[in-house]
Amino acid sequence: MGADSTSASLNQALPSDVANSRLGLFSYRNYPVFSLPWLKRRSMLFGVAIMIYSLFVFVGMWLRSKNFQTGLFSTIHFFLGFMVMVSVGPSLATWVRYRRFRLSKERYAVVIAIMLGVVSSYFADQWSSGYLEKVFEEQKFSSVDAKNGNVPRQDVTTRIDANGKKPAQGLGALTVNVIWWLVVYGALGGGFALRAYFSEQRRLTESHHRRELAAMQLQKDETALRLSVLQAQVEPHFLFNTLASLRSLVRQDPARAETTIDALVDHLRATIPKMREDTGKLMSTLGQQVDICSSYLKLMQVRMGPRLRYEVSVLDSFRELEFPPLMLISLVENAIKHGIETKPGDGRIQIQAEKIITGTGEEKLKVSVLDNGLGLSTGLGGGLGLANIRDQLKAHFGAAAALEIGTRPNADTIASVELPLSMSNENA
Amino acid sequence: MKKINILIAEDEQPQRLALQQLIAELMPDANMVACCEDGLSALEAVQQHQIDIAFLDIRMPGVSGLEVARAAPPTTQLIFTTAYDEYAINAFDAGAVDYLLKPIKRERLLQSIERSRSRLDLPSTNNMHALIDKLQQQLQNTHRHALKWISASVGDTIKMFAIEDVQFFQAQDKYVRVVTNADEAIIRTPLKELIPGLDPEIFWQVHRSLLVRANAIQRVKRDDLGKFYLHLKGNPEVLPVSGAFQHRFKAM
Repeated sequence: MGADSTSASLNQALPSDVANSRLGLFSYRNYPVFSLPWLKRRSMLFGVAIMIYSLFVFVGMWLRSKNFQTGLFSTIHFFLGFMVMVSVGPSLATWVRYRRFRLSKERYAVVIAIMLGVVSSYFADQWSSGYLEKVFEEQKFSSVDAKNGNVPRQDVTTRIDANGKKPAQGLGALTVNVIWWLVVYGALGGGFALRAYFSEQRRLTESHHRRELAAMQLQKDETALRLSVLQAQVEPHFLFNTLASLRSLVRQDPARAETTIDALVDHLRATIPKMREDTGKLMSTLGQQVDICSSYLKLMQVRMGPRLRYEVSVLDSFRELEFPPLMLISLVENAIKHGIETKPGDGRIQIQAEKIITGTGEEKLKVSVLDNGLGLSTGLGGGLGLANIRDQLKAHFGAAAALEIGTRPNADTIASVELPLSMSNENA
Repeated sequence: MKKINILIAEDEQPQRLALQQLIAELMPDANMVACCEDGLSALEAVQQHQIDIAFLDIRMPGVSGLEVARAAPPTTQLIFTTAYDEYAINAFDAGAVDYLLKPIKRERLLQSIERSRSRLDLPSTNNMHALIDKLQQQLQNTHRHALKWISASVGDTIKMFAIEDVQFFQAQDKYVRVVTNADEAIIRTPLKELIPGLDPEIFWQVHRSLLVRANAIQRVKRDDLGKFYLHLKGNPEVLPVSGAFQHRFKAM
């Protein structure tokens, strides 16, 4: 699984949580280790760095030898030697990776490639350093006139290491030397890359797991939300109470029982199938939400009798607009519960939708529920329904949506939701 | 034969009628004293009449069945009815009070009536109020959490404000100012009553008469006399911090 995901996408950038670095200069680290884009970017970076270093070498050699040609040749040797050291191993390893071996085989092959790179680094170093030393010696002979005679050929350790370490002798010294050049050539010739290569698989797998986990979490959240939508649209208390009333009506008033059953069926039909259709998306349309409210109000009318009147004024052209589930029905339930039910006498509920232009020139959809009930009174509330609407609006639309509820004296209580019109674009 | 006084409180008319008929059928000695369609009239009825058995719907507009029960004398046997309140029903299982699930079934009703009848002559166990308190608490836990909204007056209009939008509450004489980013309103609820519903980590009391949303504070200034003042984000108003509450800002 992990191996497939790497080899299939060798030429593509790694997921951001897997890449080691994102900075411009080190952008090669954003690609799989030992892939062509990686090699290209790494060679560019190392090439430029070595080129700059070589320029200094060139100036130094030219000044010292007072000979342009000597300076140029030394610099070319230096540059080529260094380039071979940094790029042979990684290039071989890249070639290996594009062979698409099995992962375990590929790992061996990559290690061998880097080792070959280390060996070639040794020879490249010998070649370029050898040339430079020869130039130095010639310099000394000509300028200082060989005061010390022959300058002993220095060991590779001191040349590269340059920390004043004395050249070692004998077998022990050879071992130390071998270890040293393994370390140094290894570091230059793709050693760090090798380490990154081995951890890349793990990092990729971990990232894959993380993303899978996040996706599962998202799916779980959506399922939970969908379930709560279903539950809230057909609130259990409402459903059982309706059934209790129905049971009583069967004998008392069979005709009214029939009307109630019809209204209940319509309401359930408006609510339940929407969930099945909507699998995969949580947004619904204004039309669907208005239908749910209408069937709910009709059912309430059957239960409460003629004292409840309602009116839905929503243009057909608005019905297809996206509108989040649960909100409108919550507002209507609130209007019934707090406005109409507690107030004796006639109650009227209106649902309206309109397009408005805000102060900043944006076009918005405003859906309002009006009731002529008791009206708001000042006080404190812990109502979760309204808090849910607010949270949902915030999650979907941020500051672009608003919920407002207010009562003017001797006027209807108005609860309205304002949403940006081009909602599908606003969804973050 | 001594008649048994019955009260029914049920806001849905068909259900009320059906329960009334069923009780009359199952209890020949029933005396239907009151059939109430809301909590308020039931509350009056339990206080006026000597009710033996009361059938109370828990959820009624206005006054709930639990509040009616609280007003009833200890001699009244209580039978609650509910369509769906799973948490409340758990509390009933203690057995001191009876409950019926709606739609009410004949056999189950008969059982409840018999049980209540047998308890009528027993001395009251008197733990009713404790149980009702527990029930009410459970109902509130499922239906109500901390303070979420405030209905307050803006001129002659009453508007609802989400607590999240409120920047600060300031007590002034007989009312409290509720100030949001965009609006200002007044409410008559005293600060004392607001405090228990607010998260003390979110709203800081900085003065006897001031509750401020902590993350609305932009900076704290100290004047020459060493008094602290708060400057808010997006609001020119400067609020005082009284001595007792200055420790909150000392470390800042």
